[in-house]
Order: sequence, then C-alpha cells, then structure tokens
Amino acid sequence: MIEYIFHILIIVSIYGILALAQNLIMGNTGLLSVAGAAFYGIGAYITAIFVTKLGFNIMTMLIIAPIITGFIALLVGITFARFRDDYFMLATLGFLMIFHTVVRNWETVTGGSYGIVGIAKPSIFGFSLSSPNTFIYFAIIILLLATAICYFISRSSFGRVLNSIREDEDALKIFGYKTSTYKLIVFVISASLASLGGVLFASYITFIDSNLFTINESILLWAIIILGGIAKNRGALLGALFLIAIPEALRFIGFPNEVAGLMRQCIYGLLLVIFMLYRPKGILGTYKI
Amino acid sequence: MNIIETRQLEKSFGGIQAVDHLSISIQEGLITGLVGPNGSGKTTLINLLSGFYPHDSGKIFFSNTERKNIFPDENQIFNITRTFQQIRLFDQMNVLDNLLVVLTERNPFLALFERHNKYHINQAENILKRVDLFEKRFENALNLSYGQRKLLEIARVLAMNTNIILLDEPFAGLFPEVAKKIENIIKELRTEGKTIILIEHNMSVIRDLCDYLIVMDAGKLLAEGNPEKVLEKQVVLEAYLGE
Amino acid sequence: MEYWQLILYAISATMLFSVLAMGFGFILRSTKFFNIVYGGAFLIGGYMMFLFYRILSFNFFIAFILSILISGLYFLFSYKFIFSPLLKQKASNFVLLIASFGLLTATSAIIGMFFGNQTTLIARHLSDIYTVNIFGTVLNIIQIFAIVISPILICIFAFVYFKTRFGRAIRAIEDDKEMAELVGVPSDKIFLAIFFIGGTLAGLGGIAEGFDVGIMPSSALFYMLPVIVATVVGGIKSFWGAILGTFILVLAQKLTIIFLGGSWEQAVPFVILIIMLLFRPEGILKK
Repeated sequence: MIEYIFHILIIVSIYGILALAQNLIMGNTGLLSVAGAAFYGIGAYITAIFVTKLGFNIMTMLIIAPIITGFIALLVGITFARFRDDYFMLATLGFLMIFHTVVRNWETVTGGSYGIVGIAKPSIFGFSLSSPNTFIYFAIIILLLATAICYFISRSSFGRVLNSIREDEDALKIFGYKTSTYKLIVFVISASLASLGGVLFASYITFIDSNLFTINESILLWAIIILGGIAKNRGALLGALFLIAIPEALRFIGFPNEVAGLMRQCIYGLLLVIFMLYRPKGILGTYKI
Repeated sequence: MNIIETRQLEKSFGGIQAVDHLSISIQEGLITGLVGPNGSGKTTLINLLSGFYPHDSGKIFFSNTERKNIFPDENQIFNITRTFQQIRLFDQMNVLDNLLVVLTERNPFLALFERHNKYHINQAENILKRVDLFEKRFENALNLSYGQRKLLEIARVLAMNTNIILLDEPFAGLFPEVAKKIENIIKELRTEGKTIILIEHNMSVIRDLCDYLIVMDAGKLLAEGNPEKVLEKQVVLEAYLGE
Repeated sequence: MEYWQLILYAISATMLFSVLAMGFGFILRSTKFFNIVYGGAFLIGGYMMFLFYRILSFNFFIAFILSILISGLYFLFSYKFIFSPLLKQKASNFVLLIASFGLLTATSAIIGMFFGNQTTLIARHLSDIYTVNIFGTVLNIIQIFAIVISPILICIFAFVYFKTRFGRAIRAIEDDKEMAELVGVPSDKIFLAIFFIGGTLAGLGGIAEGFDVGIMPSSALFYMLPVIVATVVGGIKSFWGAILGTFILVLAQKLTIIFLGGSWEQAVPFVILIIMLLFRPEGILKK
C-alpha cells in the first residue's frame, strides 16, 4: 500500500517537473505551446536509447538529456520565437507531429511503434533505485531542483520581462527589449526541464513508446497549470498533485483500464473548457491570459 | 539643431494614405506640438518615428543619421521613448514592476542573474515619488485610476531617460490636478534639455507648453511655426471646423 | 506506379480536402482563430454514420442526413455554449484556443470510450466499396464522389458567398464585426449558420474518410493539421485561398513521395507551414 502511494508521488513529481516547465513558457511568457509532450518524449527517448544501446547510466542522462533536448529546442526555437501567438501554437503542434513521425519511422533507433523496453533500472554508486520506495527520493530531489530553477527565474529580472511579454509584448519592445531572444531562451530552458521529466519516466517505468507522448499529454499539462493558476510555480505543483493523484486514487473505484484513461482525458478536456469559461485564473492563480 | 527630420515620408494602410509626403524637422530641446483633426496622421507619424511599423517610402533622420529598417527595440539606441494614446501598461503587474522592467538589464543572459537590485529599486521609488505614485507602488496597474495610469506611463518615460520623448495625448481625459502634474513634469524635462513631441487637442495646453507647432491634415503638413500665429491661420481653422 | 493513378488519387484527395479547408476557412475568417473543434465535427460525422448505417442498419441516406445534422449541431452548440460567450467576453486567442483543444480532447475521448481506439471502417461489406476503372487506375466510389461532388459544392458555396445577401453579411462580419453589427447585420445568427454549415462540411469529410480508409479518434488532429496548413498557405483571408492551399499541399506531398519515398509524406504539411510563416504569414492570396 505504502509502495503504491510512493508510486503515485513519483508520477506526481514527474508531472510536477513537466508542469513547471510548461508554466515557464505558457504561464509566465504567455506562449501557447503544444510541444510540452514532445520535449518530455525526447528526454525519455534519449534516456532509453543511451541507456539500452550505449550503456550510459541514469546520472549521466540527467546531464546529457537536457543538453541534447535544449539543443533541439534551440534549433526549433530560432524559427518559432519570431512567430505571433496563434502561429507559434501551430508551429509547436507541427513539431509534435514531426516528433511522432520521426519516432515511428526511425525504427532502428527508436524501435518504431514498438518502443523501447528493458531500460536498465537506475542505480547510484551501486545502490539500486528500482523500487518506488527508493526511487521516490531520487524523483523528489530532481523535482526540488526543477522547482529551484523555476523560482530562480521568476525572481530575476528575466522573470519580470517574461511576465511583461505576456502582458503586452509590443509595448515592451518600445523600451528596448529584443523579446524574441527572451522567448527563445525560455523555450530552450522549458524544453530542457521537460526532458528531465522524461529521464525520470524512462528510468522508472523502464519501457516507453510514442503513444505516451501525444497531444493528450500536452493537454494534460495545460489543464494542470491552468487549474493551479498560471505563472505561479506552486500552482503548477498543486495542479499536478490534484490532477494526477486524485484520478489515480479513484482507480480503486474500478473502471477498466482503457476506459479509465479515456475518462480522465475527457475530464481534462472539459476542465479546460470550464475553466476558460468561468475561472481562467485557476484555483491558486492571480493571473489570467 | 534638427534632432529629427523626415523627408517625403509616406505610409498608407490598404488604400488610405495616413502620412503623405511629409517633410518636417524637429528642433532639439524644444517642445513641439503636433496637432490636427482626427485622422490627420499624427499617431501614425509617432508610430513611424518610434519604429512601430516601417514607412512605405521617404526617409527618417535622427541627428542626421538615417533610421532605415525600423524595429521598435532599437528605440533605446536612437534615444527615443513614447507613450500610447490608449495607455499600454502591464496590467497584471504592480506599479513598481511596471517601472522596474524599464530600468533593469536588457541583455537576457545578464537579466537571468539579476535579482532584487537595490539600485534599481531606489531609482524606481524616486521616480514614483516624483509622480506621486509611491504609495500605490504595490498596486496592480489594473486597479489604478485613469489619472494614475497616465502618471505611470509618464513615470516610465522618466525611467527611460531618453533625449527624445514622444507623447501621444498625455492630457486626454484628465482632471486638472493630474494634468497640472504632467504639465510640470514636461516643463522640467525641457529644462533638462530633452526634446519633446506632443500630440494634443487641448488648445490652452498647447499655447502654454509648446514652443513650436506642426499642424497636419489628411497626412500632409498644413502649417508650422509659432503656436499663436499658426493657430490664427485661416487654413488651420478651416481644417478643424470643417471636419 | 502509373502516373494516371497518382494524378487521379491526388485529384480526389485535393477535392475532398479542399471542401474541408473551405469550410474551415469560413470559421477562421469569421472568428479569427484556429478552431480545432472543427476536427471534432469531422469525427462526429464519421462515427455517427458508423453508428446509424453500420450498427443500427439504417438506410444509407437517412443515416447520412442524420450524421451530417448531428455534426452540424455539435459544432453549432460548441459556438452557442462555449465560443459565443468567450467571444463576447473579448477573450484572447489564447483562451479560445485552449477551450477548443479542451473540447476536442474531450470529444475524442468520449468517442474512444464508445467506439474504441482502433481504426473504424464504416463500409458494411466489401461490395460497398464499388470500384471504377479509369485509364487503367482503380478508383473507389468515394474517390469518384469526391471528384464529382466537391467542385459542385465549391461552386454552390462560392455563389452564396459572393452573390447572395447572406454571403455579403458573412463578408461584412469577416471584415469588421462591430461595423457590420452597427449597420444591422445579425452577427449572432450568422455565426450560428456558419458553424452549423461548417460542422456539416466537416462531418461530410469524416464520413468520406470513414468509408475510404477508416477513422479513429486521433484522426481529428491528423486531418486538421493539413486543413489548417492549407488555409494558411492559400491565404487566410481569401475564399479561394483554402482551395489553392490544398492543391499546393497535395502536390507537394505527392512530389515528396516520388522523390523522397513514402515515410516523409507526413512531414510535408509542417515544413510548408514553417516556410510560409517565415516568409508570408498571410498566405498567398490576399482578399
């Protein structure tokens, strides 16, 4: 039983990291990004590939995955950061689709639609982290790291500029700010953080395939940060706790698995609609878009 | 010295000629009023000068340097700042933050590592005291009264501390006390040697403040010169009354 | 591969997609945002047809009419209960987009719950898919339908859009909604009509694909992306833009298959979109 609670907390931590990352680009900067799931997936796939095929260990992945993902985000972002809002969203949507196409077609590397299995369970200094009781500490440490990074950013002048971009980007430019550079940087940081979630996921669940990183994950991230309240780090964390832990606990009520998943998806979608209609600030939030 | 000069400046929007072969020059250190009936192109001119969008043809010179491809974020380089007719503040941020964002580091990498900087906060607080907004500094811009929002805009202009200042109807809709505050600040800015372009409809303010007047109508230059003399001209009166 | 086959396949794909894109264009021009719930109407049309024709064994035409009506109503209700209130509140595009993604996600989840996540083919038995031989290529009845009906539909819509009062009202709203209301255009009613009709077009697309290759819940997004790209490429403000954009997209896809092989086909819309957004975001055709 305790192990199950740890399991839930691990998933909550992973989504907490993803939500913090999504919040940086969406809540603070006001850019609607569908690509959250893509960078999450890229982090997971990089981990899976490097660990199974090259024998790397998870601790190194914590460094390698964000770097590679960040680099991809840089290449992609250089084009996207200049786009206006709606077009930025479309571009990130296209990027997510491309991610799927690449993963499905590059079979030799990504295992195509079968995914990758048998990712080695993580261990630090020979101490195995394979069970939820031990992995939880690892997950929470990474979560705290991600939280610290996000707080660092929000408290800096950079963070203030991000919020101003959300409020009125054109007016901000008048004061001498090259806003597209800011957007590019936050896009890269957000992608790298999201990939950390992927590293955790791949090494915990030990098998992945592309169906785990679809637009529904991105929508879930939106629901998490909007529920919790955008632009607030603790909103992202609260939203993750709420939207992940509660449905997991409800599993005991006994819906068959596939239906449970679809039921949750339906609820996330409706939540978004309801919040947009009646409470765009979310629960903890002070900002609305 | 001509700090700003335009030559045969043109801008049209889908068939409407907003600025039409406009050639004007702005003298340094003076308050130049920009007047004319609604739709005469005054705001468009300000938008062109401040890089809000590019001009179709013609040239713009700042201190004899041509400003070709205009991007708004180059305003700092050209030492210009401006306000907007419909006030554009960062509504969900507080007064202090609205001002701090104008004062803090522009370079994104350095901005990442810059935190609560006493120097900037002091600067901001001093400016807020100058415009009488100090007590409201933790208030969201959204919650300010109209007059306070105009003052915050002026505060940001002060914070930018540029040589050239473009003000788009700074007195519109203000009660006399607030209008007086802004008038005094503008006069102080002139004493400091700044160049100010002022779009205004209020004639008494224009007579009071402006050293020079430029009158536009339908995108063209209608008249220019000493405010008193210009305002008496037949063509100017017709332009206003005829609309 | 026979060139005729490629050309005829391309033509039928273009025809179908251009009707879809044309419908989407109406929604885009009037509400000014990319309403992805259009993809939901696509799904509903296809799955309702499956329900009525295949599961409940209704007569083909009755099932068809019902399905189109339902998909039209679905989209209309989404306007009435979600987008109309949001638009009245002057919600930003951000909010509208999030709401539309939310509704689409919920819709495809519900469809998945009732019909399953696998590919669903509406065809009742193989003889439902009649085939015809033209120039040595085999086209099924859906493709023939697409080639024949689509131009007719497009002409009807073009006539209504450019030559009738209704069309003029639509164009007025697209140009300047406030102005149109001031001169007495009943914008709310027009929106209801546009959404209903758009929903029926999307549903038609879903039915066609449902017979041709089958649909599944994730088809909504899969078909929406090329539709959106087609409207952006062709020109978001132009009626003919959607059709031109579809043509260009299909052409580019077929060329890619010829020169680079099949697996890169799906990347084509994305690449074209990026190129377009970089150099000419308004699209090719202006008003």
